[in-house]
Amino acid sequence: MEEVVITFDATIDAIHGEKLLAEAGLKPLVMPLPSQVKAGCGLCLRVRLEDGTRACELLCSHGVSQAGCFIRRLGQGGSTYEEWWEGSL
Amino acid sequence: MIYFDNAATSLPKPPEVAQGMAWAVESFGNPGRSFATPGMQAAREIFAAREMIARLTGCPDPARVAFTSGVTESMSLLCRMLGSGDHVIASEIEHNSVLRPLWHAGCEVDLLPSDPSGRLMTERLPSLLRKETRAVFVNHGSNVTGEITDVDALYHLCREAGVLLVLDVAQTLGTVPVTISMADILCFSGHKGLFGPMGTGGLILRPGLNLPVLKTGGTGFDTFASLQQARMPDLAEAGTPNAPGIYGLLMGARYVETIGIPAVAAHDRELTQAFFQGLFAIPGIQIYGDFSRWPRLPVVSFRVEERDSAEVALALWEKHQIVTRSGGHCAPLIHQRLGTQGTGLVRASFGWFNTLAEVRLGLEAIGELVKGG
Repeated sequence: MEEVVITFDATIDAIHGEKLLAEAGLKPLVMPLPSQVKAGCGLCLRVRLEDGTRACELLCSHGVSQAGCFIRRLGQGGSTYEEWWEGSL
Repeated sequence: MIYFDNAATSLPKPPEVAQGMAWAVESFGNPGRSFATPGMQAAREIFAAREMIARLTGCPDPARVAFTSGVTESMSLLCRMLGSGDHVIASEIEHNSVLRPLWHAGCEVDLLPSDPSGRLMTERLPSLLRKETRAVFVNHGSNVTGEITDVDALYHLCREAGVLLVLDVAQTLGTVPVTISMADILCFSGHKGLFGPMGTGGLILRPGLNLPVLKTGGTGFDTFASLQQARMPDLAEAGTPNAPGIYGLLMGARYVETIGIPAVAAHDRELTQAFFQGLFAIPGIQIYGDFSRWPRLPVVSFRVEERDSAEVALALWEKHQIVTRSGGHCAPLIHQRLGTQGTGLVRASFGWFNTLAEVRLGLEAIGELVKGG
């Protein structure tokens, strides 16, 4: 299973981002920042892989800063994170 | 009981304020510290409160709203930007929530005077501004005379001079129109016109204005950085916030939004005019403020002959169960200007839940008091 994880540098961006994505019907899920990923805020958002681009564009268009974007792959030994996108669009 | 002390704090609050706070106490985790439902619930509602305050003040970005315990804390935080000898301008109608932080910071404070009716003489500002002036602090509405400051003229002058205008909207937000376009920074109280609980309030920065970090501590993010980033709202919000209080503020502000500020202002004006006219007809009463000028706040301060305001307020409470506020109202300079620092003034301040019938009872009680009853 793969999904996109979006990270933030401040809590307010994560909370604002969650609201925007939920309003757009992208059903974001909140998770704690995994140790393999570096970002200022300890909260990050997960969305389906196919919604990743739209989610990032939506956040960007509303001025919500993102720290980074990753593909999360669930494996038997735990999750792996591959940098999918970083910085502002 | 008849409650005429809404300028101190509004009472009663709409029932959803206490109900909402009770739910918040039972449901909220620490906002921004956990991804699990309780913490996220708190974080989402605090964000909703930022959106509400931003909407009420025409601020396009909810992140520009930071919550504090009220104007006193907001002003104290802002004064951390100032140091000994910094030149600032404040007005004679300021509350101690502004004056004391400035004086304690060691600022050189020049005062914008008011005329004998309590109207701020904004035309005097140019003569007080200097090249090194750091900021101008002005009360949007006097908690003593009810006068509303002509902010447009002041802000125009401040912008021309490149000086920050900090506006205290403790008495005005929720009562008359207030927008972020009026100043660089608004400091607001949550427990007066917005019907929130005491211990809530905040500051609002206009878009594009950056400030240094004003409050340091745990923010829930950037844990391993020794210094905080200077970004709103966290620069003024370190530490666990008063989440149930902020949720109560959200409930109160929603109530105000539903009523609409024009309806609040019309109601307040009806009561204030009725009280003023009734009071004016009672011999021996001296009323402070120019009631020919509107809009103004629903505040009427008066003196009964030369009696001590404390004695009058006490009699109104003990004989009639009417709550007013006596004394100096934490606004020393305007009382000195009015010459009322000796006896203080009795202040009646009205709110949404007061009625004309209560105003009439209040006037009857004051009338009896004057006759010696």
